[in-house]
Amino acid sequence: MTASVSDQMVAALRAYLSGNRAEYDRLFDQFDMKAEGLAWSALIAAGFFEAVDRRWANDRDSADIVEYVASVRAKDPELSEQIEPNVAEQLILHALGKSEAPDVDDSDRYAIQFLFMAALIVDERLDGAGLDKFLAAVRELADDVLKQQ
Amino acid sequence: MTRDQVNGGVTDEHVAVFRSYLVDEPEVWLPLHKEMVESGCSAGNDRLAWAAFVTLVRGKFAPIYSLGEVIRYVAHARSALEDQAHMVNARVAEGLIRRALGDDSLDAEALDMVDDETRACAQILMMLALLADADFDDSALEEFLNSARELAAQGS
Repeated sequence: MTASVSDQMVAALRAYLSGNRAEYDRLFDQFDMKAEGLAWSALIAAGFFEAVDRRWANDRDSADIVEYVASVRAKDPELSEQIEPNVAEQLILHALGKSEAPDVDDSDRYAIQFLFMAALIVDERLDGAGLDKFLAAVRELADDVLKQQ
Repeated sequence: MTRDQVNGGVTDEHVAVFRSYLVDEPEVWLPLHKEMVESGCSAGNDRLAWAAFVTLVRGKFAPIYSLGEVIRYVAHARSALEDQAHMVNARVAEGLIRRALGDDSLDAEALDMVDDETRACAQILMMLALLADADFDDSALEEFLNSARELAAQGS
């Protein structure tokens, strides 16, 4: 049976991107990661690709990407230790079709994708309708990817 | 004990070659550099280069700095390289600056594991960025070189 993104996953991601961390934690804790982990990872990866594309698709400026990754890391010293900046930049460039995929393990890739998707979408200051539109596009992309696996 | 040993192994020749790196074109300093390496006296040059780096870093960031400032500074220097920014490892560049500032929270072991080429690349880029920021005139350059030499003599 093909894995697919559930309404609850979309609701959890919506809660996180809206700044409702308690609701995100509540929903996330209900996931069965053994059964649903693949779909959740696909949703986060799709969200990352979509957010990166919205920010840089028309202006693939490597310098801006370097500065952006630094600006996100600079806000949180603990976070800055966890995120490998060159890998984050390469993942963004890869999402834009400008670089090979970096050699990175799954958990680090997931952490970077989640962090930068959230940072980019928070920067957009979307209203409820804008966030729903983003999530619908991301869900569709994730489900397409899952069908091909 | 020789005079060179007293000075941390940094000689007038090392200072002259190092000054040449900073002010001359490669066709001038490259023969000097090769001569120094072939004569087996490059260790003093490495000590002087690190002391110069430390002097510049402390001039820029000490006494009070945040990790965020270091991260942004490294990013700013790397972004000038545009599509070649990936050639300089940001984490290593940040680590070298933090080591120069005596940051106890730095993962020194991880930095020590970095290969020589990666480390040298990061140190050179950051040194160039710091020098450009410092914008020394002739007398300030001499003062800077003297400070670096003194620091090298103290073992940085």
